[in-house]
Amino acid sequence: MSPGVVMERLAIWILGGVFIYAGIIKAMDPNRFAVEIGSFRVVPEQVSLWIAWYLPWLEILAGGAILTRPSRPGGLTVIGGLLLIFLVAALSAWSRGIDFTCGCFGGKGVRGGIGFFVRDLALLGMVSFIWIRDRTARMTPKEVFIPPET
Amino acid sequence: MPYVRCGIRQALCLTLMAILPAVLSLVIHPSGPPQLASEAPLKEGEVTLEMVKDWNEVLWIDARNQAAYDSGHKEGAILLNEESWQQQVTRVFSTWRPGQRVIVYCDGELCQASHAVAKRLRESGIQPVFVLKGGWKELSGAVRKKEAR
Repeated sequence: MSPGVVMERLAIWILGGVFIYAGIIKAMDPNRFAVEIGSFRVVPEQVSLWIAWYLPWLEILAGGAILTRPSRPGGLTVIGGLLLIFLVAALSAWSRGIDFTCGCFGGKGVRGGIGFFVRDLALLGMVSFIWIRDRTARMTPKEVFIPPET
Repeated sequence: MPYVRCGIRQALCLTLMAILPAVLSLVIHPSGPPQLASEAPLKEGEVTLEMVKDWNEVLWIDARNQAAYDSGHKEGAILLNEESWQQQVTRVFSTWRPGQRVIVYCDGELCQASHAVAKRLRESGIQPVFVLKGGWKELSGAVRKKEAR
């Protein structure tokens, strides 16, 4: 097995595992997660409540989706999109000087800071790496030139 | 492009599929139905503005950042946040008298800074320390109501 394949599989399991774990933790206490979302002050309190009851399940499904090859593109699209949304929301809160908590792992939410941005960007890097490898692997057979039989 | 299209199609399916367990959890979740933080019962150590209106000689602590404090704060409140703890906490110790009630507030129901500051104050030996539910949002609302009368 080449180092590239090992790294890809490792990244898939880390990313899938992180999102499934984070989703389960948040699904266990959605009202608490709603408070964490609210601390970003990007959406009204009522909206943050409904997001908190829905988002953990999307994270669990997306985390599970990237673990299986057929559904990987969808899982990566959802996770990539969520990470971008988290990043924009955190940048928005940070630029307004708002004291927000990460909320990434439910009740264990930590105060937003440089660590939040580093982790989010690292996960986005993993998404890009898996996305490129998976896309290349799926395209290769079509791109290989097979000379017509004479 | 087929890979991107496939990804978007699957993502839409996942987005729709997540609705089902979310709706199920709304019905069977042990923590009960969705509850707004502003309507949630008081947590341990939390007080409402109504509860403290008759308290005398309270030491108010503003756990927000410097900019928020400068733009408006409770009269007599001392600024104390985790970012500048070392520089600001000495003023709290020099002002506080043993037995005096301390109330910490931050932006509103959704900020966590007041709980964090209250916890650190208790650990430093200051008792009793309370957190104002609703924070500055509640306090400034009360001030506006008073001015309107």
